[in-house]
Amino acid sequence: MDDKLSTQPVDRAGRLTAVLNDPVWLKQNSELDGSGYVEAGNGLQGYVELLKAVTPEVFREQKRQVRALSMLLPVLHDWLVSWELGASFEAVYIEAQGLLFQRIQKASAAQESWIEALISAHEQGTSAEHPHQQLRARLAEILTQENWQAIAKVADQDMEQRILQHSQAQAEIPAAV
Amino acid sequence: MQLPIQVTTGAGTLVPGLICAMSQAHLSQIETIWKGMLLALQEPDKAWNWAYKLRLATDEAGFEACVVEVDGLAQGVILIETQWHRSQLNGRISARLPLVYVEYLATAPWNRRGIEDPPFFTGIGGTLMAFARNRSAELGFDGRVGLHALPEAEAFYRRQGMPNYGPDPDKDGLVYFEYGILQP
Repeated sequence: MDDKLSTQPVDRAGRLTAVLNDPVWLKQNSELDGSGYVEAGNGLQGYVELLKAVTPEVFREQKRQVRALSMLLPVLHDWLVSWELGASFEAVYIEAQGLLFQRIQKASAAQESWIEALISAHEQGTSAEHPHQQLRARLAEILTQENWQAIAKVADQDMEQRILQHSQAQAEIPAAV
Repeated sequence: MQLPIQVTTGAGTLVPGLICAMSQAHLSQIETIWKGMLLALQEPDKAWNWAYKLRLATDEAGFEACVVEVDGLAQGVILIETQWHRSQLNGRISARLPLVYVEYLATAPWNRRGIEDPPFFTGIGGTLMAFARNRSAELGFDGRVGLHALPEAEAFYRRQGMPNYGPDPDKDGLVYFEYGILQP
């Protein structure tokens, strides 16, 4: 199936990109998926055993949460990028995405209905009715004040750690006389 | 590395995605979101040693981890080892050729038709295998890729046309599959 990859000394990244964007290859690839179990590696036996216990009901709820995250994570990412957090961006984003997931899992009734409306708009192809600015405002609501405090604390700790690492590393270099 | 790709949804439509090196944010998604999806089940921690090992391996020489990402969310992950494993095709160890060995290949919990049809995305495993094969060619290993499939996934690797070398007693009897060289 991946004959198109070949061993010829070519632009390998370009060749892989071409294959992974080829509609014919993608269709074949999708058909080969079967049950969706593709796991390899001895260490994944526990993961697969756990997945086998997932019920269709739990699975449907997972898909709904993933759909909501797929719509909100890019907005969260771009929003945090606009804050110009520098080297602390990644630590802040990791904390924020984890908290957002927790909030989606434990959404209030009002938040649930908004998430449903968001998913419904996506499925009907009208998600453009929810511009980024509006989604940012919703994100600001979904994450609680405690969540924002936790995110700010992570930024603070990350910056502190970086400053101390740099100053300590410099202190270990003997000063020139 | 960050390559733009297309990913097939469970409904059969194509959406833009990326295949890229695994970041700390991706790893955190595996440890929180993938795992969090299974919190309703009993004792998920027992099944989650692999994510810890994935984190450790990313700092070791000879290991590379990549993800398929769509809308900022990791949909599948592959951890490959590129220095120590050898092909099973030749009998004498000294004659064995280097290959890319797949330490882990996993798709997110919501991407499997076996639980409910349709899944969120399909073809994530095949995309990661195409990456592994291409990486093998890039490293001068001619496309050789080896892996031990879990029993539930053996059929997937057979459908991929990957030669099967039978159960490996050193890996709890998991079946070893190995791709030979790519056509020139």
